[in-house]
Amino acid sequence: MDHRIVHPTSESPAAPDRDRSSAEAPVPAANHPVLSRLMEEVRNEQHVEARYDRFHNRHNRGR
Amino acid sequence: MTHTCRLDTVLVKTASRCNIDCSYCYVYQGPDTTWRLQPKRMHRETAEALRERLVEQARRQEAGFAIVLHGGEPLLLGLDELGALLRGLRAHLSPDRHPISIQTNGTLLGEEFLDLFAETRTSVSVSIDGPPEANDLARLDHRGESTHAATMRGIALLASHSDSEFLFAGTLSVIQPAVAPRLVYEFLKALGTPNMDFLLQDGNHDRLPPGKSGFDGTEYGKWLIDLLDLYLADPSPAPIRLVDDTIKLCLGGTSRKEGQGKEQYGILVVETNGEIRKNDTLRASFEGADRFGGRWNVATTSLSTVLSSQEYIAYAGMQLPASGRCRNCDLLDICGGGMPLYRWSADREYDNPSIYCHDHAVFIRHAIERLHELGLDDSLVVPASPAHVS
Repeated sequence: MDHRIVHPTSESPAAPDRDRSSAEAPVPAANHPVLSRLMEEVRNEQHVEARYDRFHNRHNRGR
Repeated sequence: MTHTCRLDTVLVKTASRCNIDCSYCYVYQGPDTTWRLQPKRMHRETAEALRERLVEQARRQEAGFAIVLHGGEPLLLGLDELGALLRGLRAHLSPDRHPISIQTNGTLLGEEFLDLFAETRTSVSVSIDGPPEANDLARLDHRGESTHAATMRGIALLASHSDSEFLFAGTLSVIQPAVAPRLVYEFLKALGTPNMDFLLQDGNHDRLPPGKSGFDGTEYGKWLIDLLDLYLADPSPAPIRLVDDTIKLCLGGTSRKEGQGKEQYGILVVETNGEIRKNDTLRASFEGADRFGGRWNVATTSLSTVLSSQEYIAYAGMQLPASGRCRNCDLLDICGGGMPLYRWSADREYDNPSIYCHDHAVFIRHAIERLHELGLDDSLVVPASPAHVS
């Protein structure tokens, strides 16, 4: 029933790498799962007349 | 500033009490006690007057606006009254231009509520601070016992509903700086939340936020830095609104919520008695801080009357910080001075930088550094070598 309730497993992120000198080469921004999405969102904001989605997600305020 | 009289969000207090008793609650544990004068639940006639005002405003402004059911615990209004309110709104306001959502502690969620929300296209965001070791620090019931299991039951129902892809909007968590962000992020991600958001704890220059050592402290900033690094290292990340908006602002985009960036947001709150108020987070400052002098009410006053008033314009202008320290800061376009409630002190009122100023600064500078590392130098609209806040 609660198929989306799962315990943290293999998809848990790596630890914050304070010394990134030994880390793998960073993923280029265009392929980065967070940055590529956000860059696309910013591009979309600049190409629509109305301000992009500004009122969405406002419900995430409050308790 | 580009906006003064447009409504972006109206928060509707459908219930003015809560079935749980969070120790950090800005409504019931803060300096403001005006909630005691409010009806416990919004009466049908008030809800009908509210609906008329919202429909009237929708006809008057071209842009859409969001409607957020809030409390207290909004589900305390009950299934019948919520149904009447939501069906009444949806008879006039379409989901594409007027999203309706509900912010709930999740403990009262049941199939009937969820079916109603699916029918009326009302999305649900659940407040949970993470695993029990984080959540139980503040989110207790009136007997002082954990609410975690009850909230998890609600989330399980929400996540397993046949329309969950629409219904489950996300989770909202208050930062507990003593609990490692890894535990919180992994826990929330494992819940299947489609979107996380995080709030700083309430506080100001006269009443320090929990876990903050002083104005110069950066406990929350360091917590956010760790969260950012986890997030950017995750090959399958769950979106984090607060971090996403910080990055987007660094890239020249906009924030989706007030308290970041330089946009103004038109926010009104309607209490259970129909009174129209300012952003309710202001009540964390002092008694009655969110009240308009006019004491407008949806029974007698249109929202456009409020939105075009001098008092509203002054309130909307509060988002731009008055402090010279902020106005001279190279990060102002990103942090926006933070939420006004965090600037408060009794002697200088809101004419201070945020109590979280140094947290914002270390977090934003770290985000900029990471974006440079990831090769975004040409896309950034922030200084390449940002100066320190003076």
